[in-house]
Amino acid sequence: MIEVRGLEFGYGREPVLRGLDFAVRRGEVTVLAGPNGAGKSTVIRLLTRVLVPEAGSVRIDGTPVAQIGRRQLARTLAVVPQGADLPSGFRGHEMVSMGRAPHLRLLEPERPLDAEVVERVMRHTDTWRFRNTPVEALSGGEKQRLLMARALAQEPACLLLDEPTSHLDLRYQIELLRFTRREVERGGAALVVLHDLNLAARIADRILLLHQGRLVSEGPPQDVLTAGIIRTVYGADVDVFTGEFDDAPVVLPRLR
Amino acid sequence: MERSARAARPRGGVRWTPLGVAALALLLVMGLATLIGSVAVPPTKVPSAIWHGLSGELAGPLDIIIWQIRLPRVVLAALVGSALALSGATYQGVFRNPLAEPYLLGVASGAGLGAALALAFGSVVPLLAGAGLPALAFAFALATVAAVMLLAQQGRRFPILSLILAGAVLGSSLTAATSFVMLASREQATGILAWLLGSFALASWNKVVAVLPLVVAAALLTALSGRALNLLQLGDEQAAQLGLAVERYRLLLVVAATLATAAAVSVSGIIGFVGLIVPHAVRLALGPDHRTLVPLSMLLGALFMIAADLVARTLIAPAEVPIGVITALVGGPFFLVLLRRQRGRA
Repeated sequence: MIEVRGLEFGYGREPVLRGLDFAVRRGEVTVLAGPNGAGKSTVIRLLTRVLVPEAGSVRIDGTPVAQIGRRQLARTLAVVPQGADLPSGFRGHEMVSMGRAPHLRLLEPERPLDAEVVERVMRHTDTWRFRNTPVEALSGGEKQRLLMARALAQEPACLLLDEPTSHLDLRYQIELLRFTRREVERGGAALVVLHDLNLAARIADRILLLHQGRLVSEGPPQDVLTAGIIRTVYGADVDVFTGEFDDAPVVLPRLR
Repeated sequence: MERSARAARPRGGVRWTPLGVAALALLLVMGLATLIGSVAVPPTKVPSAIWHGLSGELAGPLDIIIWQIRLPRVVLAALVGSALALSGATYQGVFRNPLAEPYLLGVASGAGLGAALALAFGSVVPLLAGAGLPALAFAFALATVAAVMLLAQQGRRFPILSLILAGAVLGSSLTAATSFVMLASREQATGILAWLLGSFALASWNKVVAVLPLVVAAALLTALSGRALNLLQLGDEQAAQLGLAVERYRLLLVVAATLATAAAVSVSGIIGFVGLIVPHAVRLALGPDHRTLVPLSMLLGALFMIAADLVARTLIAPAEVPIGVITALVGGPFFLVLLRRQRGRA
């Protein structure tokens, strides 16, 4: 689905990514984890061409992103941003309808199909009841779900979630990750940027652990989330247990 | 509740009902403004005067008052009002700044200097007469908006107060330069005042014809970009991730708004605050969807300008108040209330 080779990027003189290689595959939830400032959100901006890499390449199904038109890219990759700041005045359905923009030509009005897609994804994410609510009246969790609906309205092949749970209560975190899982089970792909390692362990088929702009470990949660690797990356001592109901590891900090 | 709601799927796109109502109201006000003035005109005389005017056979003083004085003035005020409202709505959308407006951004003053230079040197350089006037106004307006953007930009954002400050300071310098140009070209002081504060006293069909294609062009450019303006409200990053060529549309929209400003200023002088008041009222009433916001602002801007001009020419008749005085008296307090509301968000 997505293939990244030798990605390098820096803001000003400060290098953020120094030669990053990874892949995002269909039918898998890939989690990008790592300490603050490791360059996780930068990766999403590079994948969606908001930023241009200094070196390396991003390919989607074999085509370099630089050669993919903006609208087509938005039909392939949909971002669920960290949704605290939305312009006020727009109503729920107007916000979600913006996800149809990449499917419409310049002067093409919204078609019945677009309205159907919008209603479907809003019902699916339980945001249909906010269709006439101004977005500024919604709580953080409700906004985040609305942004998930907008991303789904893009009908993308791959969802990109940027720290989707950082403002959310536990219930909403689970909900959002459940939507992601469902999209992947339908044959889509998902890349989720997360800093919560336990949540990552639960949702991920594969974890990419980013440290100082490089990939330090990659694989299923139980291979990546070991006390040794976490000590190297985070500089913290932890205990890692195996969960009761599945193999997902549980990471607990050691406070001694 | 869920079941009853199924029927009421919200409709996207242009909302035609308010647009139709506003268009009818505009026609009504245009008619009224044609009848009111120092000489009262009976409504029955208007159709015949229009007919005589179009066929070039004006018969009698009423025909002349209607066809050569009232109608061009009303139509020009409508065009200028819609152009300024379009500019305001578009600048506010592009800069994500509720206080952006052609006058407050200094763009109107830039266009004013360009127009004043064309007026002053028109007799020396023939190229500057006629179509040269709006062209020079447009060039100066574009330079002004570019300068204001450069001065105010911080990264990818245009902070609300920086933009307005840069615009205000640049605008007052440009206004001073305009006064100087006009004094140096021995324009009478009253003429300068009328220019700097705006007036429709010299309206004519020639001016209508000069400004109409420019306003239509600007309106078409923004009409093409209604959805883009909505996406820009999300910020550059999200807009790009939803497939928008952000830089291209920002350029297109700034050019369109600036063209409308230059067109308005080159026939009526500098009239402030219309581009602030009207789009705000529309946004409060119907929300921020620019596919309705921009055209409705144009219709109501036209209506507002005709009404303001009516006040300007009847308040202390037979003398006229410059229309910019009227709009500033209304718009100033409006601006201050909005500014107060922005505190903590700038």
